[in-house]
Amino acid sequence: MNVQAFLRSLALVLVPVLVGLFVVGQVVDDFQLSVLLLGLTLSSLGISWNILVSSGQISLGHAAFFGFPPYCAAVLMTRYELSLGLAVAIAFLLLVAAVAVMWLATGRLRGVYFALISLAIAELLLVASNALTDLTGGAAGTAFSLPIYGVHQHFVAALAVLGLGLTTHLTIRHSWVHFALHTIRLYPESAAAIGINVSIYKGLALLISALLSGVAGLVYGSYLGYLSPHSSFSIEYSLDAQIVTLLGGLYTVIGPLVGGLLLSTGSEQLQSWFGEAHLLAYGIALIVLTLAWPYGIVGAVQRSWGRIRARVRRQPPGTDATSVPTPHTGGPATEMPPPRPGPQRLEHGEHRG
Amino acid sequence: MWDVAQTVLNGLTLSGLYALIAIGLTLFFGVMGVFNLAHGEFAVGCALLVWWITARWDVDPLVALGPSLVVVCLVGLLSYRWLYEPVLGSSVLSQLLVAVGISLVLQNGMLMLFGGDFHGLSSSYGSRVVHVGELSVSFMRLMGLVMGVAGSVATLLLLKHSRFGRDVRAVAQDRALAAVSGISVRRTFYLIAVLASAFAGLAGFMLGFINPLGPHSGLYFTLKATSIVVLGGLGSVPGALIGAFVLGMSEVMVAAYVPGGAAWSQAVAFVALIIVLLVRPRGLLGQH
Repeated sequence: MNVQAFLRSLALVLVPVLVGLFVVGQVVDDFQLSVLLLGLTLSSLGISWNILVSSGQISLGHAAFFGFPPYCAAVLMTRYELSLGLAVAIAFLLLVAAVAVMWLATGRLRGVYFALISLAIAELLLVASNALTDLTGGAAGTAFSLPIYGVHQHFVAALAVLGLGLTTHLTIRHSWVHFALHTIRLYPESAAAIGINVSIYKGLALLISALLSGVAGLVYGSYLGYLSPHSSFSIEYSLDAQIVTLLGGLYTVIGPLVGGLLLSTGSEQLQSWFGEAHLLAYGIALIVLTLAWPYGIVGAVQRSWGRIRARVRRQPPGTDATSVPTPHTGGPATEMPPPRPGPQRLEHGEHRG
Repeated sequence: MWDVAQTVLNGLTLSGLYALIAIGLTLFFGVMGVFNLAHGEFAVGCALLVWWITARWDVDPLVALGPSLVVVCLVGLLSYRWLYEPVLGSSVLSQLLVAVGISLVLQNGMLMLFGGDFHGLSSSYGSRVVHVGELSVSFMRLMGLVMGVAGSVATLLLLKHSRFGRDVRAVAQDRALAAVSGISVRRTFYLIAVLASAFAGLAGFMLGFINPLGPHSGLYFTLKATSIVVLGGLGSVPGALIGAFVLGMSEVMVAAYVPGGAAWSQAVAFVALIIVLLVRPRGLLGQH
């Protein structure tokens, strides 16, 4: 692990972001703070999706990871009268068990299978939480809260979760795991051949991702105060995770944060334009971002920054000999280009198990 | 005795409908290699279009089926041409995200056009019930079974014994070699996109008589079809028929014999998907 680069990225990325957001949180009114809180939550969700997808595992059902821990804890507390700590601990144990099953089921498989199983699990949770009326209270839902109160305290908690997410991703970024994950995604066969334990790293990415979204869901669930099957396992969270990451920048560290803040401020506007059908905009965004702008905001900035640097370097020596090495995003700009829709290749079969 | 037979019959008719919807999905994936997550939306779209036409001009659903199928096939073809084709050679991530995007656009487009209510189709023959001994089955369900079986057999014959079918198999096996052998890969893909949409549309039409459908019902059919094609083996048409039979039967059995089963029958597809991937990921008839 490159400790020096890690510490530098902590100082240059994490601390300014957290302090800046905290200060903004002290200035704005309660409504804006709730929007900001949603933005931070979506960012954490996006970060966790981003970590998972960088290992080549595409989750279409991240709402399952996000909604399960608070919902499960709430049910345990109301039905079995467990204490909060015990209920949350059991909820996370069950989450880890579910992750283990997913890992076993999809460990040998690539491509669409993981995506399909994640989607199926999210929908299964929705059906099951509605069907088990005796246990969960069915569609009516249950109350849930952590011992934190009001939008201010929840904002601070969400900020802490975001900090945890950013730190996790930066740690991965500056360690061997980063290269292992990206190699597994880009060259699955070669990864195994050069001695990367593909299965272990995939499981690790899945576990980290699930736990991170679980914690984010716990804080947001407590802020909502009331959990129903449809609010917990809504497919909208799964979509948010994808949009936030694509909009901000796939495989970048602060991309999901940029995307999350944008989406939470923009979603009110979308609601007023499209009303009930506001997910139409999400669909269009997914298509356009994937087909036309796969780098996202941070990716685009990094690319133009890299181009400017290259131009500066080409100037005669003495004018700018020592340019700053790393941009503030915690990694060389040109490192891992996200997949983009290139010209049609006549290949087939890579999607199959 | 009679109620067991009735349950089996219900399972059979449900299986027929499931086969109809799964064939399109498995063809699309088997030939293009792209998982069409919007498949269920095509089915629901066709049913809602038929409903809209019948409600507006007061015609028989069968009359409305023609134009609706044309629209559905056109949307299927254009969405393939403009949106799936650019990502054919890209990563699975791009393909899936585009598929999710298409599915969202269709869902919410339908929501804006037809409103969020559930609508069922009805007609004189739609409410007819056929009695055999003490068994009874609605005419449309029976037709669903007939069409499901006929559709899969017709598709199999088409693939095995026609020039088009030979092209399709060649393209599915190796695009580059098929192209240098003089097969128009693009044209084959367009025809498959149209065929898959037509199957989805037909299935939606039949489903509309049995259950009321809303703009958001599509995801469930996509997931059920997914479970079926994974169960049978992705890309295999006979696999889709067998998978549909297994899923249809298990759903009806769960609904009939498990306490509180009506709600749980909806979960069978997801559980089946997870178990198949754990035990035999290539499916019953899959080759990979």
